[in-house]
Amino acid sequence: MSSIGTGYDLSVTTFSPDGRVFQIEYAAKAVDNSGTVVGIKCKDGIVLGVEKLISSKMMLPGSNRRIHAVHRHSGMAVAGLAADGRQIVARAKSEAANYERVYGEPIPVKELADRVAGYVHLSTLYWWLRPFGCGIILGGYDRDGPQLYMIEPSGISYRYFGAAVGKGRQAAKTEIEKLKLSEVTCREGVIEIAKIIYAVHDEAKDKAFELEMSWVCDESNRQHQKVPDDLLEQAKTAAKAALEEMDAD
Amino acid sequence: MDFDLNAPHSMGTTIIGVTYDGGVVLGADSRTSTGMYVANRASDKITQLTDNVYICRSGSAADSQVISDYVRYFLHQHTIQLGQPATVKVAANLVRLLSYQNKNMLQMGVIIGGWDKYEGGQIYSVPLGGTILKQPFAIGGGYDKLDRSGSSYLYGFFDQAWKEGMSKDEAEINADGVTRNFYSGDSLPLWHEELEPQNSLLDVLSSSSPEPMNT
Repeated sequence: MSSIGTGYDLSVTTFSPDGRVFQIEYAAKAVDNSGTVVGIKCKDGIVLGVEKLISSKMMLPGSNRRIHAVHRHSGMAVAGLAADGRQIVARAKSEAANYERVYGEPIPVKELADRVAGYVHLSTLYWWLRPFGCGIILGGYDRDGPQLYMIEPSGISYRYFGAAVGKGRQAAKTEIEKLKLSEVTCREGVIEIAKIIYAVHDEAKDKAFELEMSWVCDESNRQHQKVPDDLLEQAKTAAKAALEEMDAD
Repeated sequence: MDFDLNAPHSMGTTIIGVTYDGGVVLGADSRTSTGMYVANRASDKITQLTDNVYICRSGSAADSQVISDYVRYFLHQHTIQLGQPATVKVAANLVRLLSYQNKNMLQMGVIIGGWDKYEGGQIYSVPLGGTILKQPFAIGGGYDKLDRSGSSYLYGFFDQAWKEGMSKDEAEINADGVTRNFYSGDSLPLWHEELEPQNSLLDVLSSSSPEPMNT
Protein backbone atom coordinates (compact mmCIF):
# COMPACT_ATOMS: atom_id res chain seq x y z
CA MET A 1 0.00 0.00 0.00
CA SER A 2 1.57 3.28 0.99
CA SER A 3 5.13 3.56 2.24
CA ILE A 4 5.60 3.50 6.01
CA GLY A 5 7.78 6.11 7.64
CA THR A 6 9.72 3.77 9.90
CA GLY A 7 11.09 6.15 12.43
CA TYR A 8 10.61 9.41 10.55
CA ASP A 9 6.90 9.50 11.13
CA LEU A 10 6.76 9.84 14.88
CA SER A 11 6.65 13.62 15.01
CA VAL A 12 5.35 16.37 12.82
CA THR A 13 8.63 18.21 13.31
CA THR A 14 10.66 15.49 11.61
CA PHE A 15 11.48 15.37 7.91
CA SER A 16 12.16 12.04 6.23
CA PRO A 17 15.33 11.66 4.16
CA ASP A 18 13.34 12.20 0.99
CA GLY A 19 11.91 15.45 2.27
CA ARG A 20 8.46 14.38 3.38
CA VAL A 21 6.67 15.07 6.64
CA PHE A 22 4.82 11.84 7.25
CA GLN A 23 2.54 13.08 9.99
CA ILE A 24 0.99 15.56 7.59
CA GLU A 25 0.52 12.82 5.00
CA TYR A 26 -1.16 10.62 7.59
CA ALA A 27 -3.45 13.51 8.49
CA ALA A 28 -4.43 13.70 4.83
CA LYS A 29 -5.34 10.00 4.99
CA ALA A 30 -7.92 10.83 7.65
CA VAL A 31 -9.50 13.19 5.15
CA ASP A 32 -9.35 10.64 2.36
CA ASN A 33 -11.33 8.15 4.37
CA SER A 34 -14.23 10.44 5.09
CA GLY A 35 -17.40 11.12 3.14
CA THR A 36 -17.02 13.08 -0.09
CA VAL A 37 -17.25 16.86 0.00
CA VAL A 38 -17.61 18.84 -3.24
CA GLY A 39 -17.61 22.51 -4.13
CA ILE A 40 -18.04 24.34 -7.44
CA LYS A 41 -17.89 27.95 -8.56
CA CYS A 42 -20.75 28.64 -10.94
CA LYS A 43 -21.17 31.81 -12.91
CA ASP A 44 -23.35 33.47 -10.27
CA GLY A 45 -22.10 31.89 -7.05
CA ILE A 46 -20.80 28.85 -5.16
CA VAL A 47 -22.44 25.51 -4.39
CA LEU A 48 -21.15 23.18 -1.65
CA GLY A 49 -22.29 19.58 -1.21
CA VAL A 50 -21.50 16.90 1.38
CA GLU A 51 -22.05 13.14 1.38
CA LYS A 52 -22.83 12.77 5.07
CA LEU A 53 -22.38 9.10 5.94
CA ILE A 54 -24.89 7.94 8.51
CA SER A 55 -23.32 5.69 11.09
CA SER A 56 -26.50 4.82 12.96
CA LYS A 57 -30.21 4.62 12.15
CA MET A 58 -30.83 6.42 15.42
CA MET A 59 -29.32 9.67 14.13
CA LEU A 60 -31.77 12.48 13.59
CA PRO A 61 -31.80 13.65 9.98
CA GLY A 62 -30.41 17.15 9.71
CA SER A 63 -28.16 16.83 12.74
CA ASN A 64 -24.36 16.72 12.70
CA ARG A 65 -24.16 19.41 10.07
CA ARG A 66 -21.01 19.31 7.99
CA ILE A 67 -21.49 22.68 6.29
CA HIS A 68 -21.05 25.73 8.49
CA ALA A 69 -21.69 29.42 7.88
CA VAL A 70 -18.59 31.39 8.69
CA HIS A 71 -19.99 34.82 7.94
CA ARG A 72 -22.99 36.22 6.13
CA HIS A 73 -21.20 35.87 2.83
CA SER A 74 -19.27 32.63 3.24
CA GLY A 75 -19.54 29.00 4.28
CA MET A 76 -17.26 26.06 4.93
CA ALA A 77 -17.74 22.35 4.24
CA VAL A 78 -15.48 20.06 6.25
CA ALA A 79 -14.24 16.55 5.44
CA GLY A 80 -12.33 14.39 7.91
CA LEU A 81 -12.35 14.52 11.69
CA ALA A 82 -15.51 16.39 12.63
CA ALA A 83 -14.22 17.63 15.96
CA ASP A 84 -11.11 19.10 14.34
CA GLY A 85 -13.39 20.70 11.80
CA ARG A 86 -15.46 22.40 14.50
CA GLN A 87 -12.33 24.00 15.89
CA ILE A 88 -11.36 25.40 12.52
CA VAL A 89 -14.84 26.74 11.86
CA ALA A 90 -14.84 28.46 15.26
CA ARG A 91 -11.52 30.09 14.43
CA ALA A 92 -12.73 31.18 11.00
CA LYS A 93 -15.85 32.78 12.51
CA SER A 94 -13.68 34.56 15.02
CA GLU A 95 -11.31 35.86 12.33
CA ALA A 96 -14.21 37.10 10.24
CA ALA A 97 -15.82 38.91 13.17
CA ASN A 98 -12.53 40.43 14.26
CA TYR A 99 -11.72 41.68 10.77
CA GLU A 100 -15.07 43.40 10.46
CA ARG A 101 -14.69 45.04 13.85
CA VAL A 102 -11.30 46.52 13.00
CA TYR A 103 -11.67 47.32 9.30
CA GLY A 104 -15.38 48.06 9.09
CA GLU A 105 -16.12 45.81 6.13
CA PRO A 106 -16.79 42.07 5.68
CA ILE A 107 -13.64 40.00 5.41
CA PRO A 108 -12.63 39.38 1.79
CA VAL A 109 -12.84 35.64 1.04
CA LYS A 110 -9.19 35.55 -0.03
CA GLU A 111 -8.14 37.00 3.31
CA LEU A 112 -10.33 34.53 5.20
CA ALA A 113 -8.82 31.61 3.29
CA ASP A 114 -5.32 32.90 4.08
CA ARG A 115 -6.10 33.13 7.78
CA VAL A 116 -7.65 29.66 7.97
CA ALA A 117 -4.72 28.22 6.04
CA GLY A 118 -2.30 29.95 8.39
CA TYR A 119 -4.10 28.50 11.39
CA VAL A 120 -4.11 24.97 9.94
CA HIS A 121 -0.43 25.32 9.07
CA LEU A 122 0.38 26.42 12.60
CA SER A 123 -0.39 23.00 13.97
CA THR A 124 2.21 21.45 11.64
CA LEU A 125 5.04 23.44 13.18
CA TYR A 126 5.12 22.24 16.78
CA TRP A 127 5.76 18.77 18.12
CA TRP A 128 3.25 19.18 20.92
CA LEU A 129 0.41 19.76 18.46
CA ARG A 130 -0.95 17.38 15.90
CA PRO A 131 -2.07 18.48 12.44
CA PHE A 132 -5.77 18.99 11.84
CA GLY A 133 -7.28 15.93 10.16
CA CYS A 134 -9.58 18.00 7.97
CA GLY A 135 -9.92 19.05 4.39
CA ILE A 136 -11.88 22.26 4.09
CA ILE A 137 -13.74 23.67 1.14
CA LEU A 138 -14.49 27.35 1.70
CA GLY A 139 -16.87 29.21 -0.56
CA GLY A 140 -17.78 32.87 -0.37
CA TYR A 141 -19.16 35.80 -2.35
CA ASP A 142 -17.58 39.20 -1.79
CA ARG A 143 -16.99 42.40 -3.76
CA ASP A 144 -14.66 40.58 -6.12
CA GLY A 145 -17.27 37.96 -6.98
CA PRO A 146 -17.76 34.33 -5.92
CA GLN A 147 -14.63 32.47 -4.87
CA LEU A 148 -13.86 28.87 -3.86
CA TYR A 149 -10.85 27.81 -1.81
CA MET A 150 -9.65 24.44 -0.55
CA ILE A 151 -7.44 24.12 2.51
CA GLU A 152 -5.54 20.88 3.13
CA PRO A 153 -4.14 19.56 6.45
CA SER A 154 -0.69 20.75 5.40
CA GLY A 155 -1.95 24.33 5.39
CA ILE A 156 -1.86 24.65 1.60
CA SER A 157 -4.67 26.75 0.22
CA TYR A 158 -5.53 27.20 -3.42
CA ARG A 159 -8.34 28.86 -5.26
CA TYR A 160 -10.43 26.55 -7.43
CA PHE A 161 -13.22 26.40 -9.97
CA GLY A 162 -14.17 23.00 -8.62
CA ALA A 163 -12.83 20.95 -5.73
CA ALA A 164 -13.49 17.63 -4.04
CA VAL A 165 -12.11 15.85 -0.96
CA GLY A 166 -12.87 12.56 0.72
CA LYS A 167 -13.52 9.04 -0.49
CA GLY A 168 -15.01 9.73 -3.86
CA ARG A 169 -12.85 12.70 -4.79
CA GLN A 170 -11.24 11.17 -7.88
CA ALA A 171 -14.55 10.26 -9.45
CA ALA A 172 -16.08 13.56 -8.32
CA LYS A 173 -13.28 15.61 -9.86
CA THR A 174 -13.69 13.77 -13.15
CA GLU A 175 -17.40 14.60 -13.16
CA ILE A 176 -16.79 18.25 -12.25
CA GLU A 177 -14.31 18.63 -15.07
CA LYS A 178 -17.01 17.61 -17.49
CA LEU A 179 -19.17 20.56 -16.45
CA LYS A 180 -18.84 23.93 -18.18
CA LEU A 181 -18.82 25.90 -14.96
CA SER A 182 -18.65 29.32 -16.56
CA GLU A 183 -22.07 28.71 -18.09
CA VAL A 184 -23.75 26.87 -15.23
CA THR A 185 -25.97 28.84 -12.84
CA CYS A 186 -26.16 27.91 -9.16
CA ARG A 187 -29.64 26.46 -9.62
CA GLU A 188 -28.27 24.07 -12.21
CA GLY A 189 -25.14 23.56 -10.13
CA VAL A 190 -27.18 22.27 -7.21
CA ILE A 191 -28.68 19.55 -9.41
CA GLU A 192 -25.26 18.64 -10.81
CA ILE A 193 -23.65 18.39 -7.40
CA ALA A 194 -26.45 16.16 -6.15
CA LYS A 195 -25.96 13.89 -9.15
CA ILE A 196 -22.22 13.73 -8.53
CA ILE A 197 -22.56 12.87 -4.87
CA TYR A 198 -25.13 10.18 -5.52
CA ALA A 199 -22.92 8.80 -8.27
CA VAL A 200 -19.73 8.57 -6.21
CA HIS A 201 -21.45 7.10 -3.19
CA ASP A 202 -20.38 3.51 -2.76
CA GLU A 203 -23.50 1.49 -1.95
CA ALA A 204 -21.54 -1.60 -1.04
CA LYS A 205 -19.13 -0.10 1.45
CA ASP A 206 -21.30 2.54 3.13
CA LYS A 207 -24.99 1.89 3.50
CA ALA A 208 -26.81 5.12 4.07
CA PHE A 209 -25.95 8.74 3.57
CA GLU A 210 -27.63 12.10 3.82
CA LEU A 211 -27.07 14.80 1.23
CA GLU A 212 -26.29 18.21 2.67
CA MET A 213 -25.98 21.23 0.36
CA SER A 214 -25.53 24.95 0.63
CA TRP A 215 -25.00 27.87 -1.69
CA VAL A 216 -23.98 31.55 -1.89
CA CYS A 217 -25.25 33.19 -5.03
CA ASP A 218 -27.12 36.10 -6.52
CA GLU A 219 -30.36 34.23 -5.94
CA SER A 220 -29.63 33.90 -2.23
CA ASN A 221 -28.82 37.58 -2.13
CA ARG A 222 -25.13 36.81 -1.73
CA GLN A 223 -25.81 35.26 1.68
CA HIS A 224 -24.61 31.78 2.54
CA GLN A 225 -27.58 29.53 3.28
CA LYS A 226 -28.86 25.99 3.05
CA VAL A 227 -30.21 25.17 -0.38
CA PRO A 228 -34.01 25.69 -0.15
CA ASP A 229 -35.89 22.48 0.61
CA ASP A 230 -37.87 22.36 -2.63
CA LEU A 231 -34.74 22.73 -4.75
CA LEU A 232 -32.98 20.13 -2.61
CA GLU A 233 -35.79 17.65 -3.16
CA GLN A 234 -35.74 18.41 -6.85
CA ALA A 235 -32.01 17.77 -6.92
CA LYS A 236 -32.29 14.48 -5.04
CA THR A 237 -34.99 13.23 -7.40
CA ALA A 238 -32.93 14.16 -10.44
CA ALA A 239 -29.87 12.48 -8.93
CA LYS A 240 -31.69 9.23 -8.17
CA ALA A 241 -33.15 9.22 -11.66
CA ALA A 242 -29.72 9.72 -13.20
CA LEU A 243 -28.37 6.82 -11.13
CA GLU A 244 -31.05 4.50 -12.37
CA GLU A 245 -30.34 5.48 -15.92
CA MET A 246 -26.73 4.53 -15.38
CA ASP A 247 -27.67 1.20 -13.81
CA ALA A 248 -30.12 0.45 -16.56
CA ASP A 249 -27.39 0.09 -19.18
CA MET B 1 -1.11 92.19 25.50
CA ASP B 2 0.35 88.96 26.76
CA PHE B 3 0.44 86.08 24.38
CA ASP B 4 0.37 82.68 25.98
CA LEU B 5 3.16 81.20 23.91
CA ASN B 6 2.97 77.93 25.78
CA ALA B 7 -0.61 77.26 24.85
CA PRO B 8 -0.92 74.06 22.80
CA HIS B 9 -0.89 74.59 19.08
CA SER B 10 -4.32 74.14 17.66
CA MET B 11 -5.97 74.86 14.43
CA GLY B 12 -9.04 77.09 14.37
CA THR B 13 -9.63 75.33 11.22
CA THR B 14 -12.00 75.13 8.36
CA ILE B 15 -11.88 71.86 6.41
CA ILE B 16 -14.08 70.67 3.60
CA GLY B 17 -14.54 67.49 1.59
CA VAL B 18 -16.82 67.18 -1.43
CA THR B 19 -17.61 64.17 -3.61
CA TYR B 20 -18.20 64.52 -7.31
CA ASP B 21 -18.58 62.04 -10.09
CA GLY B 22 -15.10 60.57 -10.42
CA GLY B 23 -13.65 61.34 -7.01
CA VAL B 24 -13.39 63.84 -4.19
CA VAL B 25 -12.12 67.39 -3.66
CA LEU B 26 -10.61 68.28 -0.29
CA GLY B 27 -9.96 71.76 1.03
CA ALA B 28 -8.48 73.32 4.15
CA ASP B 29 -7.21 76.66 5.41
CA SER B 30 -3.60 76.96 6.47
CA ARG B 31 -3.52 78.67 9.87
CA THR B 32 -2.13 77.02 12.98
CA SER B 33 -2.37 79.09 16.15
CA THR B 34 -0.93 78.98 19.66
CA GLY B 35 -3.51 80.85 21.60
CA MET B 36 -3.74 84.23 19.82
CA TYR B 37 -0.47 83.89 17.99
CA VAL B 38 -0.37 82.45 14.51
CA ALA B 39 2.33 79.83 14.80
CA ASN B 40 2.21 78.72 11.19
CA ARG B 41 0.39 80.49 8.42
CA ALA B 42 1.28 77.92 5.81
CA SER B 43 0.42 74.61 7.34
CA ASP B 44 -0.71 71.66 5.26
CA LYS B 45 -3.75 70.25 6.98
CA ILE B 46 -4.44 67.74 4.25
CA THR B 47 -2.33 64.67 4.95
CA GLN B 48 -1.86 61.54 2.90
CA LEU B 49 -2.79 58.16 4.37
CA THR B 50 -2.40 56.04 1.22
CA ASP B 51 -2.08 56.64 -2.51
CA ASN B 52 -5.84 56.92 -2.75
CA VAL B 53 -6.95 58.24 0.67
CA TYR B 54 -6.25 61.62 2.31
CA ILE B 55 -7.30 63.14 5.64
CA CYS B 56 -8.18 66.76 6.51
CA ARG B 57 -7.13 67.45 10.08
CA SER B 58 -8.53 69.89 12.64
CA GLY B 59 -8.39 70.30 16.41
CA SER B 60 -5.17 69.55 18.22
CA ALA B 61 -2.36 69.47 15.68
CA ALA B 62 -0.40 66.91 17.66
CA ASP B 63 -3.33 64.56 18.16
CA SER B 64 -4.41 64.58 14.53
CA GLN B 65 -0.84 64.10 13.32
CA VAL B 66 -0.19 61.14 15.59
CA ILE B 67 -3.47 59.47 14.70
CA SER B 68 -2.72 60.00 11.01
CA ASP B 69 0.69 58.39 11.50
CA TYR B 70 -0.79 55.33 13.22
CA VAL B 71 -3.47 54.90 10.58
CA ARG B 72 -0.97 55.29 7.76
CA TYR B 73 1.11 52.52 9.35
CA PHE B 74 -1.86 50.18 9.81
CA LEU B 75 -3.10 50.85 6.28
CA HIS B 76 0.32 50.07 4.87
CA GLN B 77 0.33 46.68 6.57
CA HIS B 78 -3.26 46.06 5.53
CA THR B 79 -2.41 46.82 1.90
CA ILE B 80 0.48 44.36 1.98
CA GLN B 81 -1.71 41.66 3.48
CA LEU B 82 -4.63 42.28 1.14
CA GLY B 83 -2.52 42.62 -2.00
CA GLN B 84 -4.52 45.59 -3.24
CA PRO B 85 -5.18 49.22 -2.19
CA ALA B 86 -7.20 49.72 0.98
CA THR B 87 -10.70 51.11 0.63
CA VAL B 88 -11.69 54.55 1.92
CA LYS B 89 -14.11 52.92 4.34
CA VAL B 90 -11.35 50.89 5.96
CA ALA B 91 -9.17 54.00 6.38
CA ALA B 92 -12.04 55.91 7.94
CA ASN B 93 -12.91 53.03 10.26
CA LEU B 94 -9.34 52.80 11.56
CA VAL B 95 -9.37 56.52 12.31
CA ARG B 96 -12.63 56.35 14.17
CA LEU B 97 -11.64 53.30 16.25
CA LEU B 98 -8.59 55.19 17.51
CA SER B 99 -10.62 58.35 17.98
CA TYR B 100 -13.42 56.65 19.88
CA GLN B 101 -11.30 54.38 22.04
CA ASN B 102 -9.11 57.30 23.13
CA LYS B 103 -11.80 59.94 23.30
CA ASN B 104 -10.78 61.00 26.82
CA MET B 105 -7.33 62.00 25.66
CA LEU B 106 -7.86 63.28 22.14
CA GLN B 107 -9.27 66.48 20.76
CA MET B 108 -9.59 66.25 17.01
CA GLY B 109 -12.11 66.24 14.22
CA VAL B 110 -11.19 65.02 10.79
CA ILE B 111 -12.56 64.44 7.34
CA ILE B 112 -11.34 61.42 5.40
CA GLY B 113 -11.66 61.54 1.64
CA GLY B 114 -10.51 59.25 -1.13
CA TRP B 115 -11.31 56.98 -4.03
CA ASP B 116 -11.45 53.21 -4.41
CA LYS B 117 -12.53 50.95 -7.24
CA TYR B 118 -15.57 49.54 -5.42
CA GLU B 119 -17.45 52.62 -4.25
CA GLY B 120 -15.71 55.44 -6.11
CA GLY B 121 -15.18 58.78 -4.38
CA GLN B 122 -16.25 58.87 -0.72
CA ILE B 123 -16.14 61.33 2.17
CA TYR B 124 -16.27 60.25 5.83
CA SER B 125 -16.54 62.64 8.75
CA VAL B 126 -15.02 61.68 12.13
CA PRO B 127 -15.78 64.52 14.57
CA LEU B 128 -14.85 64.94 18.23
CA GLY B 129 -16.43 61.92 19.95
CA GLY B 130 -15.38 59.37 17.38
CA THR B 131 -18.58 58.89 15.39
CA ILE B 132 -18.19 57.97 11.77
CA LEU B 133 -20.51 59.47 9.22
CA LYS B 134 -20.45 58.90 5.48
CA GLN B 135 -21.59 62.01 3.65
CA PRO B 136 -21.70 63.32 0.08
CA PHE B 137 -19.95 66.43 1.42
CA ALA B 138 -18.59 67.38 4.83
CA ILE B 139 -17.46 70.55 6.57
CA GLY B 140 -15.75 70.85 9.88
CA GLY B 141 -13.16 72.29 12.11
CA GLY B 142 -13.04 74.91 14.80
CA TYR B 143 -12.41 72.87 17.93
CA ASP B 144 -10.43 75.59 19.59
CA LYS B 145 -12.07 77.81 22.20
CA LEU B 146 -10.49 81.05 21.02
CA ASP B 147 -10.54 80.63 17.32
CA ARG B 148 -13.81 79.64 15.80
CA SER B 149 -13.60 78.18 12.35
CA GLY B 150 -15.41 79.49 9.37
CA SER B 151 -17.25 76.25 8.99
CA SER B 152 -20.48 77.44 10.52
CA TYR B 153 -20.91 79.96 7.74
CA LEU B 154 -20.47 77.21 5.23
CA TYR B 155 -23.61 75.32 6.12
CA GLY B 156 -25.65 78.11 4.63
CA PHE B 157 -23.51 78.27 1.52
CA PHE B 158 -23.59 74.52 0.92
CA ASP B 159 -27.32 74.32 1.45
CA GLN B 160 -27.68 76.60 -1.49
CA ALA B 161 -24.76 75.58 -3.67
CA TRP B 162 -24.24 71.81 -3.36
CA LYS B 163 -26.03 69.31 -5.53
CA GLU B 164 -25.62 65.65 -6.45
CA GLY B 165 -23.43 64.53 -9.32
CA MET B 166 -21.32 67.65 -9.82
CA SER B 167 -18.38 67.81 -12.14
CA LYS B 168 -14.89 68.38 -10.80
CA ASP B 169 -14.90 72.10 -11.57
CA GLU B 170 -18.21 72.64 -9.85
CA ALA B 171 -16.94 70.70 -6.83
CA GLU B 172 -13.82 72.85 -6.66
CA ILE B 173 -15.80 76.03 -6.53
CA ASN B 174 -17.52 74.64 -3.50
CA ALA B 175 -14.29 73.84 -1.72
CA ASP B 176 -12.42 76.90 -2.90
CA GLY B 177 -14.51 80.06 -3.10
CA VAL B 178 -15.79 79.80 0.42
CA THR B 179 -12.51 79.36 2.25
CA ARG B 180 -11.18 82.53 0.73
CA ASN B 181 -14.23 84.60 1.49
CA PHE B 182 -14.54 83.79 5.13
CA TYR B 183 -10.95 83.92 6.19
CA SER B 184 -9.52 87.39 6.21
CA GLY B 185 -6.15 87.76 7.86
CA ASP B 186 -4.24 85.03 6.16
CA SER B 187 -5.40 85.36 2.61
CA LEU B 188 -3.19 82.85 0.91
CA PRO B 189 -3.89 82.23 -2.74
CA LEU B 190 -5.45 78.84 -3.01
CA TRP B 191 -2.75 76.28 -3.46
CA HIS B 192 -4.28 73.77 -5.77
CA GLU B 193 -2.68 70.67 -7.07
CA GLU B 194 -4.00 67.51 -8.59
CA LEU B 195 -1.85 64.86 -7.05
CA GLU B 196 -0.54 61.83 -8.84
CA PRO B 197 -0.22 58.76 -6.68
CA GLN B 198 3.30 58.59 -5.34
CA ASN B 199 5.38 56.68 -2.88
CA SER B 200 6.72 59.55 -0.88
CA LEU B 201 5.78 63.13 -0.22
CA LEU B 202 9.45 63.96 -0.73
CA ASP B 203 8.76 63.54 -4.42
CA VAL B 204 6.18 66.29 -4.16
CA LEU B 205 8.74 68.71 -2.76
CA SER B 206 11.16 68.16 -5.58
CA SER B 207 8.50 68.68 -8.23
CA SER B 208 7.19 72.11 -9.21
CA SER B 209 6.44 74.25 -6.16
CA PRO B 210 3.52 76.68 -5.87
CA GLU B 211 3.84 80.46 -6.17
CA PRO B 212 5.35 82.27 -3.20
CA MET B 213 2.81 83.51 -0.71
CA ASN B 214 1.79 87.14 -0.42
CA THR B 215 2.28 88.88 2.90
